[in-house]
Amino acid sequence: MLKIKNLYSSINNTLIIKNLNLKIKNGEIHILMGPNGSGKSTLSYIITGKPKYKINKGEIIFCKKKINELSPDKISKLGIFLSFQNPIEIDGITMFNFLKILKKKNNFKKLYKLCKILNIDKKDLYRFFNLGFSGGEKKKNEILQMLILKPKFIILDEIDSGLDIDTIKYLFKIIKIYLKNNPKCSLLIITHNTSIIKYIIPNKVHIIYNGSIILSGNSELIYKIEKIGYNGLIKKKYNDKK
Amino acid sequence: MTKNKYIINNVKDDINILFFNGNFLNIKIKKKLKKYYTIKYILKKVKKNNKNKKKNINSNALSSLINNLYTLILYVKSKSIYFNNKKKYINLNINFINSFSLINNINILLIVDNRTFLFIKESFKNLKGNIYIINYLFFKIYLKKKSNVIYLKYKKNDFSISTINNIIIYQKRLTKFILYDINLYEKFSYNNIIINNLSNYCLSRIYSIIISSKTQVTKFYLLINNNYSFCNNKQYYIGIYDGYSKSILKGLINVKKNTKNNISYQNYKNFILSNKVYVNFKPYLNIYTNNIKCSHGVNIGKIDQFFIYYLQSRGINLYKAKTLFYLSILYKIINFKKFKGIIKDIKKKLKLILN
Repeated sequence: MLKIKNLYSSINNTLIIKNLNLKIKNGEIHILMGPNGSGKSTLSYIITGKPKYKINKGEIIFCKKKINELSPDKISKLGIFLSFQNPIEIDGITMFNFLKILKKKNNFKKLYKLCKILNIDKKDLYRFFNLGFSGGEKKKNEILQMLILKPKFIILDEIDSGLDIDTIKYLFKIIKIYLKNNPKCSLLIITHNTSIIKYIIPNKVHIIYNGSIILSGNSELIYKIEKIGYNGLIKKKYNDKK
Repeated sequence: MTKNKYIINNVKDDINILFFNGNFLNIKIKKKLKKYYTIKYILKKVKKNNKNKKKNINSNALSSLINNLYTLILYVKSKSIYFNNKKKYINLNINFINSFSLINNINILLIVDNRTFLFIKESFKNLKGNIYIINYLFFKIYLKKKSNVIYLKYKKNDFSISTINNIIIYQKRLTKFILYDINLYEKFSYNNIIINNLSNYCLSRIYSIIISSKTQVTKFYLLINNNYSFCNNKQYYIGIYDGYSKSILKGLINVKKNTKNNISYQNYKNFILSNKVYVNFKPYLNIYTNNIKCSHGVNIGKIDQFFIYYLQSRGINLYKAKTLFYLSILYKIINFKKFKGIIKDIKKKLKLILN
């Protein structure tokens, strides 16, 4: 589904992603982990085509289409969805109106059904978009948008940050149901948190460091991170090379 | 014949006033609602009599106002008309039609009586076509106790007319004055607004939206005098500029001695789309007392790129995302449900600029 080949990208003439390779097949779940500032979120921005980031070298292929130079709206129309770590607040436009802009076919009934599934209060639909919402409510709103847009490829950028255990469990339950209903849909989860393995079992785990993926393996890699930490793993890798 | 046409066109309004080439021509009041109103109008008040001079020295602000020269003095009083437990506003439409005069001086005094709710609109018509016409409008509005006035300044079609507005408002106890100033196409607009509080508990709001392109020039001078306590004044201004457009604003709020619990607030937001735009905003506060809330702020900047990227990542194209950004800011200050036609015109103008 998604192929990233020898990717080099920069912002304001500073290289952030260096020689990154990634391959995600249909229906697979991948987890991308790494220390702070390693380039996890920037990779998600580059995939979704954020204009500030320049691709110096390499290519990103989604469903056999090169998406290097496409604008973010065209990329999302191809079926890539990014759930943001810090979603924006729109003062002046209600949730309901915004969701109607996303898909004109949205009815009251459909939206109310989705709200029921996500435990969102109906009254929240008539509040301004994300304005005064708690962290959990904002994340639920992101998942609501995901359910409306029905993407083929989902990137969840730190979906678990700032959420209590019950809501994390509940959100992953809904994501799992969505993946069951859409078996070809694949998922990339970006996180620091090793406890994510309790909620979802990945096909592959990647560790990103200094802009490139240095290790990838099964879900056992997460247990290693818990034991040694990122620094331990990185040192071990470089010692093995020597 | 032409004169009557324009009156008939605005049948929806309760009161229609027609100015033809800067002179007062006609006033028409809706028949059905005539029994609820008492409207008096006086044309060109004659110079003061010497006999009354002594009386006027000790009289109040209103009597001294009346003794000036006006093209029209209008006095509006309404009995309480309630629809669904809400008081109905009287719609007053002032039509300015020009056929041969290029510069017009119009001087109006409007007296709004106790507990009267008034909604004022303006409409302009230039029969000369493309020839540029200037209207000097001196508008004094005197609000008596518990009266409300909403004033909408918006030119819909005619771009060959520009008005130089001098609006002075006198507010008595428990009055409300709201001004909506929307400028989309006017080549040169000049607003000089003075708000005087004549007693406690006065409320005023000024909402301005300027979307200018090419060589449009807007000037806005504002003076608010908080002479008494418990007054509440707020001003919101949003400007979107493109091309070589210019915008100048000076806003001064005076809070006088021995007043308390006054709230004054100035919020100006400006978005620049081209590098050749000139924006000069200067808000001032003169405070001579304690125990009040006053603040002012000016933002001049460009569009929020992360906002646009977020919307684009949801499948909304660049043009739609930008219009949504600006509309969200406009919706914040104005409830466009009241003025349905205006939002369509704003979208049209945004389309012109953003494309």
